[in-house]
This record gives sequence, structure tokens and C-alpha cells, in this order.
Amino acid sequence: MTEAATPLARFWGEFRNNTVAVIALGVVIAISALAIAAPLISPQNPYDLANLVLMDARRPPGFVGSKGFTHWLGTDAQGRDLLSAILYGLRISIQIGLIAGAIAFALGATLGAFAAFFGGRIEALIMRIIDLQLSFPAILLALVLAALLGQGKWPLIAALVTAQYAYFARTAHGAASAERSKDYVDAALSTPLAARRVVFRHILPNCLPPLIVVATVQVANSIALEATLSFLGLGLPVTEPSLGMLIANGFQYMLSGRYWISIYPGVALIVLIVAINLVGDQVRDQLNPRLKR
Amino acid sequence: MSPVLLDVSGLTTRFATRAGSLNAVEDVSFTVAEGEIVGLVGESGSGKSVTGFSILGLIDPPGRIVSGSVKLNGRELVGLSHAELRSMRGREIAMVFQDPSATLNPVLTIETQMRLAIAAHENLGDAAARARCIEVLGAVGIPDAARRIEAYPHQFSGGMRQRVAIAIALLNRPKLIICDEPTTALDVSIQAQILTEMKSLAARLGTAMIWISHDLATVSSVASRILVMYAGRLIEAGPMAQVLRQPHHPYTRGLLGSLPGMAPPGEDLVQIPGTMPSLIDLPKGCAFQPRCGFADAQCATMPALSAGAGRRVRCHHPLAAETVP
Amino acid sequence: MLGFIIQRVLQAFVVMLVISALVFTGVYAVGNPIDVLISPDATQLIREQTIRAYGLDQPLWKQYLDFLGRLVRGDFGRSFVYNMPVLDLIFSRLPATLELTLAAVIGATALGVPLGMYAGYRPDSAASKAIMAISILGFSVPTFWIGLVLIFTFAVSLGWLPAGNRGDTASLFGIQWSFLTWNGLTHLFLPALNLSLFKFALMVRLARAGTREVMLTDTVKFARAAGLSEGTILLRHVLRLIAIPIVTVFGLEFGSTLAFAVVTETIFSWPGVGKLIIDSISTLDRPVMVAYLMLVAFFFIMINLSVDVAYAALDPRLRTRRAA
Repeated sequence: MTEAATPLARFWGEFRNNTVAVIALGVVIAISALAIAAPLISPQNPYDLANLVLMDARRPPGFVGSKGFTHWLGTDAQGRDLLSAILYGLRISIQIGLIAGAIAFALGATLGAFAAFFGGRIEALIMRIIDLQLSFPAILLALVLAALLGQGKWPLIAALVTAQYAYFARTAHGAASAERSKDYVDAALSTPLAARRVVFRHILPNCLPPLIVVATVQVANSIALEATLSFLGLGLPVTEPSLGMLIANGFQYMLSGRYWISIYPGVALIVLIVAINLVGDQVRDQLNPRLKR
Repeated sequence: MSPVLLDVSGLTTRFATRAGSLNAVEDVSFTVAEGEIVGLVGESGSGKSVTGFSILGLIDPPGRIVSGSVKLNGRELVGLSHAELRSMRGREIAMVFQDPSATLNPVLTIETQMRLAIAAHENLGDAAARARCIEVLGAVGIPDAARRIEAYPHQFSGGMRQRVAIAIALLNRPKLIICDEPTTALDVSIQAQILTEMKSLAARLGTAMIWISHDLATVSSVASRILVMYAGRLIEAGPMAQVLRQPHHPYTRGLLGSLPGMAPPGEDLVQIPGTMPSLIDLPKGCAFQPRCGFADAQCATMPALSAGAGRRVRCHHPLAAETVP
Repeated sequence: MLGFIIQRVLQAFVVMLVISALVFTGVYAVGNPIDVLISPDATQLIREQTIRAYGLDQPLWKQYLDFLGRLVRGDFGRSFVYNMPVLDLIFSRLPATLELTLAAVIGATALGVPLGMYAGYRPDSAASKAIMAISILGFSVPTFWIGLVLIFTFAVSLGWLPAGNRGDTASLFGIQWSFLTWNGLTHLFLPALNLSLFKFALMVRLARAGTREVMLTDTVKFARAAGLSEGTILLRHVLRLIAIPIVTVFGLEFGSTLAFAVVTETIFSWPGVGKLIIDSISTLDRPVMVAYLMLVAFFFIMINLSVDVAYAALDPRLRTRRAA
């Protein structure tokens, strides 16, 4: 076999063999693109209340509204075009999932790596707290935090980060402890480099593969968690419904047979989450040295 | 000579791997007489363990027996149904493995594991089954068996654990036990003990054994006849004493020459140069030819295994008594 | 073994103390419960009386110490909203949640472990692939959405099962249980199924991974060589070997399922503690929130403790090491 030029190219070469994962990656990219382009392509701005026509509320898919365009997926209780609401909702969900994931990644990885690097009391204390937190269900933690901090994007992100940084910290700590005991770190430490730089330049990059695996899973998890919190009414304000809130709002109408208000946003959410998880599964298999043949 | 118990002829076991299919065992024929101990020697990858598993019908996909026959007391085993093979295993042919800490289940008591082996073949009552277990444990040299039977594997030493595994193999009084490197994982002092005990146990019970090992020294101390395998094929066979005194195949001679205490006194120990070729990528003709000091153009064709009930060798240039490389 | 348990109990006590402080400050730092307690048009006098009655005029540390003092006497305070002792309130709701959680976790394990073992035993069969596909879905799809789909399918469209509430209950040990009546069972089925799907997926994965690994070991080869049937090998050898991680996860998941019941209870209007906490969050009913969180923390610590003890029971190697 010929050796590919860069690690990334080699990674892709292996990734390509799994058709399901490639399709899933395509879906993730397509949904992300749709979400980014939402203001350009959606028939209506669902967050502009002046734009909504109450007369058009709760109409089934295919209904032609008073504004003259077809609501392909129907409308919700406020007369929002569901397709537009879903596109905007995806935008919010992905945004929040990525931001929360990135902050949790940075915070957790740094904490875990530093704990492994310094060892002793500091390590014991940090890891004790993290273990304690990990034994507590993330949903409950996020729930209480979201309730305490109030509604809004940043309180929600804070709640998600608190619920998730511990996974990154545990992973980074595990990888960094293994890395710390290797000779090259001692070699780097014997040079006049600052300890901080040793962590950032040498230890962290080597913990990246397991962290990337955790990150894919956690981004999917934050999106699901955000939707769950919003569904419970603890997420974003009602005026800017994320997918979870769209589903929650549609719930009461579902019992009377108006399934589309809940079901379509749900389908969008699930396709996104399943696709991310499938990509994550493949990435994990590829980065897991134990499964290497 | 005692009647033939096991008759293996033309056995070929093939593994279909992603890199291509390979014959882990190719055209292997030999017999084992009742009560006889036969040594099967070869390096790792020579096919000796696969031969053992093939006899038991325990080849998992992607491997399978593609040709040949294995007859036990005249009954053909190749091609038997799963159920028939299962009821044969343990009752007629049993097997002991290398590492007892890997073969015994760490979370079940010795008694449970032994009782499961009995229950696989026979419906004994509680008391009778327990009595049989204790009796066999005593026979393999476990002191205080009636009490120790309730212990877990980790509560035994390595040697004792292997005795337990041997006891499990003996439980259903098989006529043949295939021992796959049963002493390799043990301390040298315990190895010798177990070797002697198994030899006398086999003699007492009239059980035949195939003793598989990479270690010629071990095999020579238990077996009365020896089979040497190389790259999936049988290359030399004969009575132990004769083969040790005068090996015909250069490989066998190389093995002997690399053994302290086996090489002729006064001569330096010699190592066989090179390594065994990969089974996927075998040289044309004799597989040993690239490492052989006697190889010539003729060796590019596969030599046949010389016929005969006594000594057999697969070589174009079998060694005479005084040939020196 | 006893020393080990005592040590763990002491540890648990310290952890509970830390959690109580965290929860107390956390919950009390934010929001003003007075608005909930008193109607806006109450007189200033009534306002002050109420504030004093609940001790809300005291500094936070004093409130915390008072709280701890009452806690020792088993008093978690009174709910602002229901105006009854919090402990009574929670315990009146707890059986519903326990029933739901147990049904979900037991169902998930009883179904997930055998299916997972099968998928690990025959990884390439079509049935195994189907099992794994379901488990991927169970992992990915948010619980609340599955709940909606279940309601829509079985309650609204097909009309086979009720969409919410506990249904008829019958009394056992002085507590009302749904599973004792047929009507109650039909009410229990959908929420339990909803709650169990994630656990089911988890159990399938665990059992499959464990079985795959164990099937390749010499223990299985040796058992086969002794003539044991495949069924006996799976049931007696493999199941015992994979039981340890499964019991761990069973325990831990029981705790998180208890917490996740929040979502399911909300969807199915199941009158358990999960619904109570959601309601208390939106009404800022502090004593209920604090008591609930303490209770969940307590459950978690107890579960972790029993998992450790179960380890020792399942793994004889651990047992003797600890005894020594």
C-alpha cells in the first residue's frame, strides 16, 4: 500500500471505505449548509412576529398561506412556516451545540491535561471533583443550571458546558497521564521550556485523537440536550424557537392529530444527531488503536 | 503393537484471509495407537495447534478443513454434524491448552466448571458428579480435593491450575487427550513434575496423548514417537529415540543442534539461520529450502513424505548418520 | 470487607455534606421566592411576617445552618407551593417514579442483554445488524421525541394505549402501584418503553462488545473442547464473564434513569418526582428543589456503594483481595 502524503489524507482514505459514514458526513455538511443559508433560502423569517399571520396557524403541509407561498411542511400555532422555523431552528441548535462543545472542550482538556501534568494533590482534587460530577446525570445538572440562570442563549450554553466539560477533562486526563509518563515529555521538561508550554506544545496535541472522538459525541449530545431543555421550557425564549421548543409547542396539538408541528422538527433533529453519531462512530473506530488491524 | 486409535490422513485445513487463502495444515497424515504418547513439534505458525483443533473439529471461520480424513476407532470425524462433534469432544477426545489462567473461567468455582463438563455428556446425580470431580482432582495430584473443589481458579498456583484443567479434560475418560503446550506457561521445576505425572497418568488410564510443543526437550521426555511440522507440513516422523539419535531432515537436525543437552557433546550450539516463511508467501518446493545448507535445484520441487510405518521424512537429501553441513 | 464499607459510607457522608452546601447556595443564590410566596397585593405586614416565617431575612450561612439543623431532625422544610412538608410531598410522588424507572431498567436489561449477546455471538447475521441499527437509533434519538412518537402512534393514531397518567392503582405495603392493575399496566407501558430505549441501546452495546471479546478467549475454546454446548457456554460462561460491566452500568444507569424520568414524566403526565421538580423549578419552590437534588445525590451515592459491593460478589478475585 502506498503511504498517503498527509495524516489527514490518510485518515480520509480510510474513512472513505465506510459508505454509511460518508453518507452521514454528507448529511451533516448539507444540513449545516442549509442552516447557515437559512436567512437566504427560507420562505419566511419565523422570528419576525410581524410576519406571522395567525389565520394561517396550524395548517397542514402543502397549505397555501395568505402570503401566497406554499407551506410545504405546514404551519405552527403562531402561523409560522414550519420549513422556515426548522431551518432557523437548526441554525440555533448547531450554533449552540458547537459553541458549548468548543468551550467544554477547551475548558475540560486544559483542566485534565494540567491535572495530569502537575500530579499530586492538585490532580487528586481536580479529578475527585470531576468524578463526582460525572457520577451525576448531566441532564439534571443542566436542568438545574438552566432553571437557575434563567432563559437565554448564554445561560443555556453555560448549563451545557457545565454538564459536559467533565467528559473532556476525564478523557484528556487519561490520555495526558499516559503521555506524561513517556520519555519525550521528560526530555522536553529538561530543556528550559516553561511547563505551561510543555503542556500546550507537547502533551495536549498527543491527547487530541481521544478528545476528537469525545467531541463528536458531545456535540451531538449538546444538540440533543439543548432540544430536551427547550422542550421542558428551560431553554431559549419562546420568540426564537429552537427545534426542541418547536417540538414542545406542537406537542399539545399532536393529541388532536396535528402531528406535523412536532414530527417534522423532530425528524430534522434526529437526522442531524444520527448523522453526527455515525460519523463519530467511524472516527472512533479509526482513532482507536485497539481496533487497528 | 496396540491397535490404531486415531488415523489422520491427508488433512488439509485452509484459512481464507483478506490477504489470500493459506493452508495452515497441508496433507498431514499420521496415526496414534491406543495408549501411545505422540509428540508434535514445530515452531509457532508451523500448523501444530491447528492440527490439534482440526482433529477436534474446532476450526472457526474463516478456517475450514478442506480435505483429508480423521478417523477415531475407524469412525470418520470430518463432516460430522455440530451436535455429533460436540458429543465426541471431551468424551472421546479432550484437549488441554497452554495457559490455565486463560482457559479456566475466573468467576466460576472449580466444581461448577467440572460439573458443566460432566453434564455435557452424562446425566449424573449431584453426589455422583461431585464424587467423580473429587476423584479426578485427586488423581491429578491436587491435595485436599474435597475442600479445594469449591475454590476459584485464582486461589490455585499456576501448576495447580493446570492440574485442574487436566482434570477437566480427564473427567469423561477420553481415549485421547490433545495437549497443546500444557507446560509452556509454567515454572521449569513444575513443568518437569507435571510431565512425569501426566506420563504415568496416561500409562495408568491407558489414555493416548498428542503432545504439541515447540520445545523438543519437553516432548522428548514424554513422547515415544515424534512428528515434526514445518510450514503446515509434516517433514519428519519416527520413534523418538531414533529421530533424536539420527535426524533425517536438516530442519530436525537444526532443532536438535540448537538445544543444549541434545547437540552432540563438544559441539557448539547452532541456530537455524533465518525465520519460517509466511504461509501466504511460501517458496516454491520445499518450504525449508531458503534456510537449508543442503538446498539445490532439486529442492524447487516439493519432496514427497517417504512412505513407511516407521521413519518418514520429507526431503530430497535426507541426512545419513555422519553427514555434516 | 466491613472496613471497606465503613470507609465508603464515611466518604459518602462527606460528599453529601459538600453537595448539600453546593445545592443550597446554588438554589438560594438565584431568584426571589417571595414573589411566588406572596400575592402582589398583600400588605407590607403580611410580607414581612411571611419572610420571617420562612427565615428568608437571615443571612445565607445562617439559613444554611438552620437548614442543616432541621435536616438532622429529618425536616426538609415545607413546600412554598403545596404548603406541606417537602419530605411527605416527595415520598408521595416517589413510588410512581420508582415504579417507572424499575420497569424501564429491568425491561431494558432483560431484553437488551440477550439481544446484545446474540449480536456479539453472530456479529455478521442480518438479525444482529438489525439489533445494532435499533441500538444506534436508541442512542441518538432524544428521549422526549421518542415519547412523542410513541404517544402519536399508540395513543392517538391507533388508540391502543392511554397517553398519560398512572391509571388505576392498587395498594401494596400501603403504597399505590400501577403495575398491580391491568389498567395501570396499560398506562405504565408506554412511558416505561420510552424511558427504557436508551438503556436498551446501552445494554445491547455492552453485551455485544463483551460477548465478542469473551467468545475469542481460551476459556470458550476450552469449554468447547470439553464438549459443552454453545447454549451452555453462552449461559454459564459468557454471561457470568460479561455480568460485571453490565451490573455496574445497570446500577449507574438506574440512577441516571431516575433523573431522566423528568423528561418522560413530563411527556406522559406521570405524577412522579420528575414532574414535581420541573414544576418546582418553574415556581421557584426552593425547598422542593433542594430536597429533590439531595435525594438524587443520596441515591447516587447509595447506588455507587452497592455497585462496589456487587462487584465483590460477582468477581471472586476481588473478594479475596479485599478480604486479605
